[in-house]
Amino acid sequence: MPNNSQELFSFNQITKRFGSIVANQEVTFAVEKGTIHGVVGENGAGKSTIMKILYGMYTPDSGTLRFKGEAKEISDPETAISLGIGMVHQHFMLVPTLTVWENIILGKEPSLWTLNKKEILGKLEELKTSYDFQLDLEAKVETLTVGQQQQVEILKLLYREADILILDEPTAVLTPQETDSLFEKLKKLKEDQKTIVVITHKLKEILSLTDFVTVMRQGKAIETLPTQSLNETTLAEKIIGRKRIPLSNVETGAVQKPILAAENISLSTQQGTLLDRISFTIHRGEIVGLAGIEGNGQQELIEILANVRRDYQGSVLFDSKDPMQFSTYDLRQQGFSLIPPDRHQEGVILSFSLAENSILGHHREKNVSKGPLLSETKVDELAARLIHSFDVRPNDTQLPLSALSGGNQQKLVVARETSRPVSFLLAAHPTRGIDIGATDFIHQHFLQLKANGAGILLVSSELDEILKLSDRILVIYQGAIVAEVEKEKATESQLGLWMTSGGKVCP
Amino acid sequence: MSLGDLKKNFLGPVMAILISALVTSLILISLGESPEILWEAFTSTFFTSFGMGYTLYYTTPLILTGLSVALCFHAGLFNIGAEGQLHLGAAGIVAASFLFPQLPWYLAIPLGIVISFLSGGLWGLIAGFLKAKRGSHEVIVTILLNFIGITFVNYLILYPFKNTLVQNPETHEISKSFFLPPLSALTGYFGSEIFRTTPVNVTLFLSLIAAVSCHYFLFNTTKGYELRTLGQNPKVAKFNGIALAPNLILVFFLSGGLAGLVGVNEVMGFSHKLIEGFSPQYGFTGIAVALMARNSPLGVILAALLFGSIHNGAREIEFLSERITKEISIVMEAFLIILIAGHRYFLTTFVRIFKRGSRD
Repeated sequence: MPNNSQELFSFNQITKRFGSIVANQEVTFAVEKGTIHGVVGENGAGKSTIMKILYGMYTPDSGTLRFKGEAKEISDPETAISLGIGMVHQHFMLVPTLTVWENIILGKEPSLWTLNKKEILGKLEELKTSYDFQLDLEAKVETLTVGQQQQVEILKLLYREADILILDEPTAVLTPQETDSLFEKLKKLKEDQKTIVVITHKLKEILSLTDFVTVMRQGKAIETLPTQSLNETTLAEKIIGRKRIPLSNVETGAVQKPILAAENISLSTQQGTLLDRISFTIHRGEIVGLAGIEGNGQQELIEILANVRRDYQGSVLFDSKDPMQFSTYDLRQQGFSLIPPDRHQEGVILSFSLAENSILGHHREKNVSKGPLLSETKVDELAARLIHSFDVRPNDTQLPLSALSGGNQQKLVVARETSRPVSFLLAAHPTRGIDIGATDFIHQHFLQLKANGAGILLVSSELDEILKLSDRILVIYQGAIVAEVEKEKATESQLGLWMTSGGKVCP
Repeated sequence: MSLGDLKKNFLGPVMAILISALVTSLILISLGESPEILWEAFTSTFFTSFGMGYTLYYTTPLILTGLSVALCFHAGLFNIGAEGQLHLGAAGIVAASFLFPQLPWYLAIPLGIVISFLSGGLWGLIAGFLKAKRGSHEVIVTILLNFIGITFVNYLILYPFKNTLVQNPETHEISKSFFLPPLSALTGYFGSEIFRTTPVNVTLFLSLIAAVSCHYFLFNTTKGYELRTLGQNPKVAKFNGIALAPNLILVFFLSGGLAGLVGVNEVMGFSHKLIEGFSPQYGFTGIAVALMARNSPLGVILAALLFGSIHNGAREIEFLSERITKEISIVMEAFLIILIAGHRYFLTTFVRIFKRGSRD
C-alpha cells in the first residue's frame, strides 16, 4: 500500500452485492493525492461499481470508505460533489438543446432568480484558458463532437471545484487526436494537485498516463502497483490472470468468390455529400478493414449495406443479389450478420432480459419459435448457450441487459451475430469497451469465421485492431475511399496520414 | 413473486389509494359532510351483492379500455382514441342487429362480438395508418378521431337508428338473439341471489379473457416481441429487421378492437340499445387504468376494479349525501393519477426524508 501520509481516499474491505451477484468483494486499495490512478480489469470485474460507490451512486453492503483520513459515508452523489468528487460517465449526461455554459451550471445555478452570466462566463473562460479547452461556451451541446461534449463534462466538474475526477472509459469514443488532447489536460490537472481516477481497457493508455494502477478481477482488487514497474505484457497478464495467448492465424485458401460488392455508392443529403462513389468488393474467406476516423461516412455506409437506408445512388450486391429486394429481416436470414456501431441505439434493448436480447433480429427463426408463438424455454436455452460460449457475466438469462457492464453487453451482441451460419459479417467497432481477454477471444472467433468461408468487413477506428485482423485495408476519408492497401504493405503511420488528411499531404 | 417484487409493484399504488382517500375525506369534511360516507360507500361497493354487481359492471369496460391503452403503450404509442373507438364498436353491434335481426343466438352473439371488435379496430387503424404512412402524430389524430367518431355515432342514434316512440336520444332495441345473459342469470341457475338486479353480465369474462390474451400475445408471440422492441427503441427495431409501418397499423387495430368490445358490455349485455352519452368517459379513464397498471395486461384487471369501484362508490355517495354529487369521483381519480404518475418521486422523497429524520 502506498505511503499513508499522501493517501487521499481509500476503500477498505468494500463488498457490494446485487441480488446473488457479488460485484465487489472486499475491495481494498488507496489513491494518493495528486496522482493519476488507473483501474483496470475485465468486463464485469467491478471497476465501475467501486467507482460508483465512491461517487455515492451505490452504497456498499459492508466495508468502509476513508476520505482524507476519516471514515465517510457517501450516500448520494450530492454528498460526493460536496466533497469535491466528480464523475464523467461513459454516457454523457448533457442536455443537447442547451448551450455549453447552461449545461455547466445546470443543477448548480447561483440562485433561483438572478443569473450573473458575466461572472459565470468569466470563471469559465479562466478555466478554459488554464487547461486549454477548445470550446465555444455559447454553442449548443447538440452541435458538438463527442470529444467536445466530454470536455464540457470535465469543465463542469472543474466549475464545481472538483478535486477528484473519475473518468469511466474516457477514450472509448474519442479519435486519436482527441485522446491526445484529453491526456494533456489530465496531466495538467495532475500538476495542479487534482486527483484523477481512470477506468480503461487500453493498455497503452494506462502505461503512458497513470502513476499507479489497480488491477481488478472478478470483483476483487488483486493488487495496486506503480505503473513504472509494468509493461504491456505484464499488465495484460495481471488483468487476465494468465499468459496472453497470441492469435493463431487460421490458414485460408485462395480468394474465393465475392460475397458483397458495393458499386459507386453515393449519398447526398441536406448536409452535403456524405458518401462519394464508394466501390469495393469483399470475398468469402477474407477480412477487409475499413479504417477511418469516426464521422467520415462510416455510419451511412453501414446503414446502406445493412439495408436500413435506401435513399442512395449506386448499387450493392450481396451474394449476387440486390439486398433491396429483401426486407432487413430476410437479409439477415440469408447469412448477413451485423454488429452495429451504436450498441444502445441499434443493437440491444436495455430493458429487455438477456434472453430477449439474444434473439433480437432472429426472433422468427425455427429454433426459437413455432409459427407465431415464441418458445420461452428455447429462447432461454439459446441465450444460455450464447452466454456460456462468450463468457458473458453475470450469466443469468433473466436479468435485464442494463444490469450488465458495457463490455458484457457487447459480448452478447457479438455472440448473437456470429453464433449462426454467417456468410458475411459487417462488424463495426466489435470490441469497443471490451477487455483484452474477450477481445482476443472475439478476434480469434473472427479468424475462425473467415476460415469457414465468411467475408468480413471490419469497421474500426482502432488501427491496432485493423492491422491485426485485416487481409486488406480500405481507408475512408470524408465519405470517399482514399486508399486501398494489402496488409503486408500497410504501416500505421501511412494509414494514420490517410485517415486524417485523405493522403493529400505527402509525407 | 418475491416479497421485494410485491413491495415494488404494490407499495406505490396502495399508498396512492390511501392518500387520495385521505384527501377526499378532507374535502368531504370541508363541505360539511362526514367522511364516514366514504367508508360506507367503500363497504357497499365491495361487500354487498348489489354494490359488487355494479362495481363489476363498471370494471368490465375499464378492463377493455385499459388494455387498449396499455397495448399501444407497449409499442411506444399513445392511444387517446379509445372513447371514439368504443362508440364505433357499440354502433357496429346495433347496425349488425338491424341488418340481421333473424339470426339465431349462436350466430348473433359471435357476430356481435366480432363486429364490435372490427368496427372499433378499423377506427383505431386510421390513426395507425396515418402515423405509418404520413408520420401524423397519433395523439393528435386519435383526439380528433374521438370528436368525429362520437359525433357520427350520435348522429346514428338521433337519426337513422332513432327509436321514434320515445323522447330519449336512443335507438330501437336490438333483437333478442343478440342479448348476453347477466351474471345474475348464472348465479340464479345455482339458486343464488348474488348480483340480482345488477347489470354485470358475461362480458366480464370476455374482458378477463382479453386481458390474459393480451398478456400472452405480448410476451409469448413473435409479434408481441416485435411490438415491445418497437416500443422500447424504434431504431433498434429497424436495425434488426422489425418493420415499423405494418406493426403500427396492427397495434392500433388491436387497440381499437379492444376498446370496441366495450359495446358488447353496454349494448348486448345491459341496455340492449344505444343511448347517447352511454360512456362516462371509459376511454379516458382507460388511460389512468393503464398508467396505474404500468401497462401490465394482468395489472389492468386490478386497476380497472379500483377505478370501477370508485366510479360506483361515487354514485353511492351521491345517494347517501345531499350535498355531494358523483363528480367527487373525479377528484379522487385525479389525485390517484397524480400520485401514481409521480409515485417514484414521492416515494424516494419520502424515503429520503425518513432516512434524514432517523439519522439526526
